[in-house]
Amino acid sequence: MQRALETIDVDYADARWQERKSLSIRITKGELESANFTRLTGTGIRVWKDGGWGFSSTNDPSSASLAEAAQNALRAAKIAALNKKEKTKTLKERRPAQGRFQAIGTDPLAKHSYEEKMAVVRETEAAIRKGAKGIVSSTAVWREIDDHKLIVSTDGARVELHYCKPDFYAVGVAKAGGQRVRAAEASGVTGGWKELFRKGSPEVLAERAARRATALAKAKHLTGGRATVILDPAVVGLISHEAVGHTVEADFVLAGSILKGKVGERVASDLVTLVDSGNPSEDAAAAGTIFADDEGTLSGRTVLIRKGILVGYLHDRETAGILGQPVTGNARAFEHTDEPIVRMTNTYILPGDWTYEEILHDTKEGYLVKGAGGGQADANGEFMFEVQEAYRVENGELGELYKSVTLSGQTFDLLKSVDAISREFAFDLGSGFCGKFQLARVDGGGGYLRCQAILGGRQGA
Amino acid sequence: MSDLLSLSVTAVKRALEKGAEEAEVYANASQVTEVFLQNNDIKLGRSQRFTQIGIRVFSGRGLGFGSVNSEERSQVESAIDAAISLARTAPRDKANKLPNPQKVRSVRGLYDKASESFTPEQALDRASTLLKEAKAVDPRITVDSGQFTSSIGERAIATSTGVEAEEKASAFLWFIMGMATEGGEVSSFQYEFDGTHKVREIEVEKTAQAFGKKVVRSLGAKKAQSFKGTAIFSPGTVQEMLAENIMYAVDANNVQRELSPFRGKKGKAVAAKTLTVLDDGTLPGGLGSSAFDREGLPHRAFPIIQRGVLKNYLYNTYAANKERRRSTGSAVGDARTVPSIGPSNFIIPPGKETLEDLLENVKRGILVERLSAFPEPVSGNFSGVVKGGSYIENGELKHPVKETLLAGNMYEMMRKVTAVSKEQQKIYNYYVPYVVLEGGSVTSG
Repeated sequence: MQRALETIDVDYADARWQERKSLSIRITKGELESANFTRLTGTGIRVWKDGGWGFSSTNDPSSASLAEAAQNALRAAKIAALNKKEKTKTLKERRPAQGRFQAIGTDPLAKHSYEEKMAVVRETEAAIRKGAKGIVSSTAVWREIDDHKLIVSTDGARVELHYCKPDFYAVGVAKAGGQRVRAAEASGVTGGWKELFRKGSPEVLAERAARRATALAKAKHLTGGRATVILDPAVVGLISHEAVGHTVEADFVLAGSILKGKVGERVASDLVTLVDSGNPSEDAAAAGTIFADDEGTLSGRTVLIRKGILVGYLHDRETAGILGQPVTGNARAFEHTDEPIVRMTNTYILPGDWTYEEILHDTKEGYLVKGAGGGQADANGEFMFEVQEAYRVENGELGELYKSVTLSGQTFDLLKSVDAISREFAFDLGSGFCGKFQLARVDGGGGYLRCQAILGGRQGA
Repeated sequence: MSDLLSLSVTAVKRALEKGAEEAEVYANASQVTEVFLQNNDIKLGRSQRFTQIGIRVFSGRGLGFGSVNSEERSQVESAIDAAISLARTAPRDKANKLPNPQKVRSVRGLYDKASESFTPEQALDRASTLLKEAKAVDPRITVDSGQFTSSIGERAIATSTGVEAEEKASAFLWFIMGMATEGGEVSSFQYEFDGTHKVREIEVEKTAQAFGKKVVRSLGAKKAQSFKGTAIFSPGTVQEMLAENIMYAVDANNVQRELSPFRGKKGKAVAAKTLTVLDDGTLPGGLGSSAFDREGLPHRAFPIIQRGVLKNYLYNTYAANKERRRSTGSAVGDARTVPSIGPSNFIIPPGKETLEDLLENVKRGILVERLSAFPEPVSGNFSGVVKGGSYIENGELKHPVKETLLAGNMYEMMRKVTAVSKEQQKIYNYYVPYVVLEGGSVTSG
């Protein structure tokens, strides 16, 4: 790989060999929908020349093939440079990463057989069906991605990464009064068997999904409005990632995100410190852990909002150069056929000094919302997300459960209204993928957080 | 026989030798050149060759699947081994049976010989033109991202039941996305895309202009009033909302799992008489056209909904086996996954009246360019923010709207389609007009 980079005349280049082994097993209502093993191997080469960028890849490890891919990337870079108006003038200097990093867990998944994984999915799916009365459909999913990468660059990065990122789902669908309600228990981590099931064994996840689906089926719809809302760590993670994180990705900042030019301004209350870390000291098993990014920069801890003030953005070498800020190690690529782009890793709000109980007891009137659902945040800072459960809070006590509740508002209004964050902290956004031209495994979290937001009910859902 | 097909035939034999009872090998290979746009500029050029081999086996009527991105023998063998091992652990399912071969006829217009001499420089030129033409529409336009892709690909399939088929296709696809800004105002995001199999049909200029006009139209947005009334869906909204709900409801898997509201409705009215939906995988030059589906069965042309009456569900072989009937040739997917179910070309035939005529008849309504919504296809309920839409009063487009929600039930609104436009737009493999629907409610924040 290193030699292939030496055969071409470039201003900068990086090469990444990646072997990915993935497995997915999915069973719905007793039927096996997929039992897929995929292995992808190859090398992606990215070239910077005359201010333009080019990329190519090959699945063939021979030196001739690598040299050809390097030539193709160089040609693509030269072509891109021809019509590029704002040539990239400089890439920000960084200390290139060197070393080996591994996170496959204390009980690596490679040591567990297909039989065992298939059995877990079968048993979980059956357990959801039998878990509660009124379950009409159930799904269990096992998915694992095992990545092994070697990254080299012309400025001296040499890094080997090996990590496994499994996720697991137990989904129950219950019916009441002609309406179906879905409840999902999901876990997604970086690591092995023990990390994957640390929130609960497969049996426990199945039972929770079944119970929650039947409870939600009987729950009422909410009449919406502005309210005091306590968010659980999953919802805090969802907001940190979707509503805040995307607006601080430097490529979006350059294209005109709402936080462009706002460094130094207040965007949240004093209590809020929001960070992104690809190697978080709080919990290395978070699903977005990468140790080093795909252009060979070590992951640190990037403070984005410090005590309510916006202090920085997420960068690769190019955007850091343009905006004159430090490289943050957020250049990520999904497969060897993808070039690195600015992405988040684990994005979270640091814990506060309340306890969850104190926040609850201190809340006279409001709601507790739990569990991240679908949703979106717009370029202008407005967001709308679904949450899995919403409980009424009255005089510090949990009350009635509501279903199909949405949380919406203006992101930075919500963050400015934060008046309590708990000590209890968790990552809880680790299942599934974030999509931005390519997929990425990410995570998000925080403590329980109290704020003002708009809760909505959904029409007849 | 191409190399890809002979490799597939050999791999099927190997799978049987290794103990599979049935085996299917689906392979594709393509050379792809892409030029990416970002923030009003060229971002990156990319040129690479992809190969993917997917092996599906049944053992004891259990399913297993393995896939690799290499034609190399040892790699293909490892995928076969993985598929067989998985199948041996899988639950037995009587519907796991591969289809017998059927006669496959080639479809015209999928491969353009001129694509062989289409250079990366030409791809750059097309991407640059897309950007330049869009900016030329109006100085207030910002192109956030875009892409021009050219590809030449071949695919092949072989099975232990005797299916053998192969096909070559060229494709050119492009898209552009962005917004307009004026003073402190930022319009909502809009996008536009198109594609073709033929070099001489690459018309990025047309796409750029349509995009530019759409973006500029969404400037100066005001809140609408709250009312219950007419919604005119743009072709893009028809594709994302109406077509997606229909596809979910006619997917035989969803029907069998009692998730589809169209269950038990075959031969009955599910929509207004003004609505007809066809699936035609044989359409010459269609972006969703190909001679055979993901299981090697021939594509056909058939009605899904005819004048409001549900005519057909869509089946792949697995779903068809459960009802002891034949697949409709609707298996879709790539070489990385087991076949699922989907449309080839999804077509809503155009109506007689132009969009302008349709607007004239609207007393109070909303033209929806794009709806940012959570579609919930099981119930059909939706609620979304209208992006780049316009308020209509007494036959006139009054003003673009913002902070305006449209909510309703897609299946109920399907029964209240009052007209479809003469203008029909191709959105990749969707050929759809403007559609006028009643029964939605508009709420302004």
